[in-house]
Amino acid sequence: MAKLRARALDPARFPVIEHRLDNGLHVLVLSRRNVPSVSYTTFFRVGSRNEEPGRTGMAHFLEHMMFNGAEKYGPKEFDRTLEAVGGTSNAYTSHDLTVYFEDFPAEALDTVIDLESDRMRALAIDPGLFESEREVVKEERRYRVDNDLFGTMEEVLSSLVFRAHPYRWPVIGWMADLDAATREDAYRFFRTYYAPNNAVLAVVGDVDPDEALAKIEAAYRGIPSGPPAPRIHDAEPPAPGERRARVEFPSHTPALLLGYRTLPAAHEDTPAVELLETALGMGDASILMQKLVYEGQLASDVHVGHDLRIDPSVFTVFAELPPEGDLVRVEEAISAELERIADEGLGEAALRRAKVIARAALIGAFATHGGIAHALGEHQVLFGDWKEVFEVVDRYEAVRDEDVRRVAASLFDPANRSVVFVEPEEA
Amino acid sequence: MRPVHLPPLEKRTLPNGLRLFAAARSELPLVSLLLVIESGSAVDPMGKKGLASLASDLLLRGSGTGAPGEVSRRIEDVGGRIETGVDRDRLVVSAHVLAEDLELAFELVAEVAMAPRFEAGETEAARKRVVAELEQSKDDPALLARRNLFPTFLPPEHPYAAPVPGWRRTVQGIGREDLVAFHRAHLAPERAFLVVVGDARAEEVFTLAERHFGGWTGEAAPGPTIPPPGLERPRIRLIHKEESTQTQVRMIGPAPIDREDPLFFPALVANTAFGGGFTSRLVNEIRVNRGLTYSVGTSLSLLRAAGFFSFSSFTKNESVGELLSLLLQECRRAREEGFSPEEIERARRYLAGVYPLGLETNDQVAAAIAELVLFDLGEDWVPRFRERVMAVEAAPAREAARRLFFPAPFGLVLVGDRDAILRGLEQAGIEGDLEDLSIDEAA
Repeated sequence: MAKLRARALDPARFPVIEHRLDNGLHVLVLSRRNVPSVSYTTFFRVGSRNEEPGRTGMAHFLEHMMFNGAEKYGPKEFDRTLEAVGGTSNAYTSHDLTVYFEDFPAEALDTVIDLESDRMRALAIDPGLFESEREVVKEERRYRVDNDLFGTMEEVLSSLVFRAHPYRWPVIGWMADLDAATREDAYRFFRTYYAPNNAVLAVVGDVDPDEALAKIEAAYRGIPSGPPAPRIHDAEPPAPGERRARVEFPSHTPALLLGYRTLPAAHEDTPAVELLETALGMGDASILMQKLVYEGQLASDVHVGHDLRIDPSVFTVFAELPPEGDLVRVEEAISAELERIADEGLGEAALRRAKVIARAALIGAFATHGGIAHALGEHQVLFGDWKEVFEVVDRYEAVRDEDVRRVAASLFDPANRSVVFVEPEEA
Repeated sequence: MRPVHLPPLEKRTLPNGLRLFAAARSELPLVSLLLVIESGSAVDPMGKKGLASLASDLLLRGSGTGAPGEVSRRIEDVGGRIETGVDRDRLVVSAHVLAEDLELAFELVAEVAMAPRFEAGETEAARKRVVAELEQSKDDPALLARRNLFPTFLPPEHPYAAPVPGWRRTVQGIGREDLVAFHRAHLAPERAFLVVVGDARAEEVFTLAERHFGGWTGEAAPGPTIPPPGLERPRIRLIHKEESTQTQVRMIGPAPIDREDPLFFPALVANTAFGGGFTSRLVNEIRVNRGLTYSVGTSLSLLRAAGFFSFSSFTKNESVGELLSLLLQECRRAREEGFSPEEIERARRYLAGVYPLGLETNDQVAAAIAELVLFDLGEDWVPRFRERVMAVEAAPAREAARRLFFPAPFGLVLVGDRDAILRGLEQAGIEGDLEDLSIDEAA
């Protein structure tokens, strides 16, 4: 087992070159020649966490505008230029981060460096495209939230789990805030958060690392660094007790979403939380799939989730019920399992299973250039050091069942619970 | 662009007819197994639609002498996964393990394919889960629209018509004897092939395959006859959803092209320029210029015996008519004028450039090998793919547009508010046979 681990994610097999430009841009380059393409990923330390009430959704809206023109490459030219050299791009915004990525053939590297450095240096927001993009984002919100059962429930859950922290509002923002957003807001947000010293760039694939680094240095070094981004004050008070909401939604089946406030990603107990997530919900033989879906036949499906965030995050359990399903029994069954783990731990067999699954998932992420670029950048941004990614397997291994029990007891305290449910409307 | 190659492919056929394909890649200590059965939901009998899908669910709920769920537990205990799935043309069992667990993967894939038990209690429970999922689909407008796409374009008796998981009413009628009969008729070695990709040598793969699949017997029933699709008049399926603020829009027509057709690569390029890439005409006109949607696109699905071209988008209720009008207008323009040299060049480069991204993981390589086998494509398919894309000229791309972009009566699915949809159809001047379905009838 030890030999296998060393072979799987041995840092020596992933010789990352690290360099920090004078303006603060943090660059990671890894040469990997097995597939003739390159993955180029830029992480900005900004997400909905950095927004203010009345201007929610700005981080995500700005992500859209980053594809709509800068100084050298004007409106519509970003993706046209990229596709014309055989590349593809996308981006996402989370509570903490805004991440842009391109995948392209090796010979397109110069073009991609030019495109990305151009928009980091000098975003230019076209007034007409700002208006049409506002409508695009509103359509995205209608799609993901307003007309989607889980999206609606999740939005309500966040507002129950968090009372003071910006995690309480949705990444996509409130509809009225999308209507109110201005170009000036977007520019201000860009200037505050898109300086090179607030970014990490990870390049993985068919490149010569020294050559790639030299080109990146040349293209980005003229971009001035900015003042440090404003610190986010986490004023979240201790949980006041259980919170509960019944959501009105024209649903045909009942559904239940439980949420528990957890720990910041960099907390030493995070590996135990991740193993709990894995043991409870990953795979057909996981604890809640067994208890709720297969043995109990109370729910048709169950999903367990926990994203790593800079500040304390949320651990969720989502159960989908058949039309005649009983919400009370499902909630009791979930609570019973969580309380059992809080009392007794997972037991050695379930803990071992969680560790091997979590390890395999990490190895699987290293199968693509994009997966590696993501893993490196995310560990740099959330844990303060990309090298942490090579420590994860050992950190899982070090977790004892007593650690899991202790963490479960503190997390799954009923006073820390928020519950959102939907009942079908009477036929 | 550097050429793209699959890893060297070793082949063998077992005496029972099972074809084996092994491709060794050792960068990570992972292996993927993909067992493909060349029968899918197209063989489901009328009144039992959803049979192949339910059978595939039940493969993992009791096989050999193990308790239901035992197979999942054993493979997950070593950090692996086993999955089954069905589409219209095939059923697959796949397993993903660390290289050191290769034999376990062989044992479990063979057991679930060869010896499922379809116990009465598990069958009943699985049927209830499927019915519950179909009930839940009523609250997912995008899923509802997708599931109703083929049924809108094809008559109910067409083997490709029904959604793969079936309908609530047909799933209810599936019994244990149907599942046993399906298994006997279709899960036979001569109807199957096994692809193994990853950190495993071919000789080891063949030895393990002989050990675990050598005893597989049975003869496959003949496959279904698939008539060519087509409509006399457009058919519109309106699915009213209470309190929707957005309408899901899908359109489908025939794509009478297969992978050997000289128009295959032109069709890929034309689709990319029209609705495939992020700078396509439809994205530009519908999303970027007018902000009518978050997502818009077209796709080609070339199934075993028939091809289809489809459009997918959504928009707020007020702009359904505008979106449909734009779609029809852009289809007409592309059919008549084709694409500019710049659009052709960008689409070619994009397709060629992203091609290797689909061949990074063991699973992707296994899927590419399966495509070669299923469509009998020849070993130069992957290495020559990019040059053949790059050779597409404007004239054949325009010809592909003429053939594909809804020149003939289409199927149209709209899920959302009835009044908004009817206004939109009128505004766009779309006429055809209208089916006005309640959400119950559409699930």
